[in-house]
Amino acid sequence: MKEELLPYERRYVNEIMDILKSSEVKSSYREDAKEQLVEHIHEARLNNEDFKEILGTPEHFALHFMDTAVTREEQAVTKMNIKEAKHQSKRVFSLKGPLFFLVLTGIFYLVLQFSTVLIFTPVLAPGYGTAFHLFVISDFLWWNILVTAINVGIALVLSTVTMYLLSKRYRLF
Amino acid sequence: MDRMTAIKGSLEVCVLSILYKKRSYGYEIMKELEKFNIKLKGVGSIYPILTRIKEKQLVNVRKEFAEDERPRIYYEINEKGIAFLKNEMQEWYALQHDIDSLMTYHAKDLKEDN
Repeated sequence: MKEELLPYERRYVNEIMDILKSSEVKSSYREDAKEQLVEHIHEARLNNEDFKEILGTPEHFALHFMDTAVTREEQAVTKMNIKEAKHQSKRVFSLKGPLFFLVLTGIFYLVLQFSTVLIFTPVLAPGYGTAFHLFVISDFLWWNILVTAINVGIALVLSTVTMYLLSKRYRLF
Repeated sequence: MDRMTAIKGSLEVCVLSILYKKRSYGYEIMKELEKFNIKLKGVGSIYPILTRIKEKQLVNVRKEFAEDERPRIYYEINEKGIAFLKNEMQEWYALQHDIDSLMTYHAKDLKEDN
């Protein structure tokens, strides 16, 4: 079966497939579109025509395809799916936003600060007593401020990474 | 009148009419439409229409290979498709008649100028 496409033709088809997939068009429709596109590109090449002249840009073709090919019943189902997806994303929406980011940063900061105290002060040494200062690492103020700033910085980076990973998994953004 | 809009609205019937005469594939259908001055440039391709009539089970679809092994998807109108086409054609002609009557009644002189 000769279905070979030139690189730019394949790129064109892939772009359309990506748009259709991201728009949640069901796979049987996508498969249909792919076969039709391959056929058209071959026929246009054979007749020395530019396949894009009729098909238009990938975006144009994909939009027209979704608008025309998908029956009204299917469109209704897709809309319901989108609504459901939006509803589901709302359920985890509480994890999104500056408040969650601040809380997360706070937690990371406290854990880091606590770890710093344990590592750089003798609080765990035998016979040290009960004196424990979360923000006092050294007798020098500049050193305490520097450690706090470093911990805040690390906490911000960790929170950003966490939010990014959560957004990828749960579509928070 | 916006020709593109009119073509868009009637493309399904046009494609089914072509398939009523003989089974065909996308590119050939497109060329047949062009013979009758139904240009698709700016309208969009007929491929979404072909998928739609397939999903509505108005046609039977068969994949075949040309002499040089190029894949071709042939569409053949079935009984359901013929009944659908007949109904759509009746509605189309009825609408055309109604619009013609209306325009003749209200703007007969303009019609005669043409």
